[in-house]
Amino acid sequence: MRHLTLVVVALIVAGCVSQLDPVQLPIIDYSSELANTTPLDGSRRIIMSGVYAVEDGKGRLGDTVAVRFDGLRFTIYAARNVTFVAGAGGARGDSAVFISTWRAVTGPDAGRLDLVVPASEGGKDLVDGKGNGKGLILRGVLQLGSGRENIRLRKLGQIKARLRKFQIIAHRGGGRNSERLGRSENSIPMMMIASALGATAIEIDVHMTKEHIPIVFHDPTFTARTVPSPYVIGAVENYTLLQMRLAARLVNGESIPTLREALKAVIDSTTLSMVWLDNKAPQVVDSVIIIQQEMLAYAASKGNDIRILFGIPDDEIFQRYSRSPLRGTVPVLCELDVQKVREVDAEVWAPRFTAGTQEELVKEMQNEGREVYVWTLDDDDFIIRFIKADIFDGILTNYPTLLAALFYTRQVQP
Amino acid sequence: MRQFVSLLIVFCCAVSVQAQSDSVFAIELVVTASVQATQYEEIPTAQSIDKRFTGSAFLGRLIWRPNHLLGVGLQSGYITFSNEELSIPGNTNIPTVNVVLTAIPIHMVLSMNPGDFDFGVGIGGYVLQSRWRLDEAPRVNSSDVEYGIHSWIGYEFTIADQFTMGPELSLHVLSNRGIASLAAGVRIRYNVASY
Repeated sequence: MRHLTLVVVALIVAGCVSQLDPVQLPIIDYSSELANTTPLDGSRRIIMSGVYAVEDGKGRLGDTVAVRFDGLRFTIYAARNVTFVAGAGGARGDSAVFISTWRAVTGPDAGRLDLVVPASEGGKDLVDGKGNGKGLILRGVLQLGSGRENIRLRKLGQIKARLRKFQIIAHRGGGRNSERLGRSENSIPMMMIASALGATAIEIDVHMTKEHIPIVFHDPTFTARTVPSPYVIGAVENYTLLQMRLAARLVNGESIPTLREALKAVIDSTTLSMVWLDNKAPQVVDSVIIIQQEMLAYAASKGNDIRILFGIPDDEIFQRYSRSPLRGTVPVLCELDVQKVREVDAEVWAPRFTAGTQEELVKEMQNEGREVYVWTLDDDDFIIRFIKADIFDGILTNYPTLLAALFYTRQVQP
Repeated sequence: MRQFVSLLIVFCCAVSVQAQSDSVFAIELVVTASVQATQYEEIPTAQSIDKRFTGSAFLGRLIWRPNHLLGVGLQSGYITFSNEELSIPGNTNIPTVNVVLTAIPIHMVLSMNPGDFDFGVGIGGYVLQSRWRLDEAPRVNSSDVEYGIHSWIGYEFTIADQFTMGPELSLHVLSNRGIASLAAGVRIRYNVASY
């Protein structure tokens, strides 16, 4: 009976644990706060971009950070606490000012970060478009609640250009619900911020509706983790698209996108260069390939050379793809062994990280003209180990910010 | 919530308290019929006009009451949390959809019976079922299991040798799904066996 009592008490205590609170990001009116600034053009953004040493604020940002622009969006990636900064700015007089929000993805911390490049510390040269920005100082104040912390960054050098493009691939369209990014995993709004999080590519999960329409959703069932509505429970394929549109709002209020809607939004509104379709519904292999063909043609018509890869994660999808009359008409990524990669002539081999760096096999695949992406790496030490191997063409991660910070800060060109 | 937890811990501690030395072991069947008011944490769909619904619940509990103050047993039944008609904006072919959320609880229960009162708690799963009826379109039934807690308090009047009857107030909480449901109804207790 004592054991029963303990079990009951444990269940009650577990039931009282509250869920994670949403992260409160400050609301900034960029248009009014940046009214007197001129956005930096491409060459000035290159001068500004690079690897910076953290002179003040190491406790928050670590020793080095990467500063980049995603279009006009100003971003900073720091490995410490998986911190990203996203904002906007430009030239104001002989200085440059940037206002932004920062977020430590491993916890709830978030706030505002205002930075300036003073005229005497590289600002004038930046505004005039002179030099390479080495030694340029970014200084400002980071806010967390009522607390303030001084930040001072000094540019060490440019981010080294590589012969081979390296893909920072964000899982579930950019990030998981557990990271509380204010957008739901696999939603279109999440895909829209993926590049601001550091990603150059995304992986999205493909399930299907009852009428076999491919949709972007990760789990095989609806649970409170993904869809809070009490009417939407159980297997995803039990529901028609109409029912999902009526009741299946994602945790941040977005609707579940169809595959076609998601790919069109990525092509139209992002700078992402690759989408990896993680197929989870064997019944819709042909439908996915048809949509993939349509969207590749659509991207080409808009001058966008984005790659969309048909993912083969397991033997069932492999068998369906192998028997499909549409086999060989779209680029394929295969997660299975190298023999199967060759059988389907996949453009990309995607081994699991637990198999190690497998350097000989990776080089063998690359010598056959294939790329190799490894999945799914979220730990600093493992990421560094695979980056140092310097043979992979991309890494899939739940923390694109962390991967971007670790990758770019190791690519400094003095 | 802390008071609720404290009360339950007191229940559990009562396990070791001996009842009267001449008491007997008994098996009881308690059935309840209730009307209930359900509150969802959020409006369940964009077309829903409220997050409060009325429903009904029919529950049965089989309780073994040993020579202690605390009885243990199992509970199941059928609960209707909500039943609503949703309109479909811009769709004239299917003007409305009927959506019903029901549950079959499968609970382990702990019950105390001091004097004419009976109170207790049930812990376990609710087999939730979502049923959709669309005019001239296929039905959808989908189910899932969620963890939840049920607690109740009742009062009993003896109406026959082995029967008692009285009012019961109870609360179902499925915190993971954001569902809380308060039920008021009638309970009948039958002493199935004593030994």
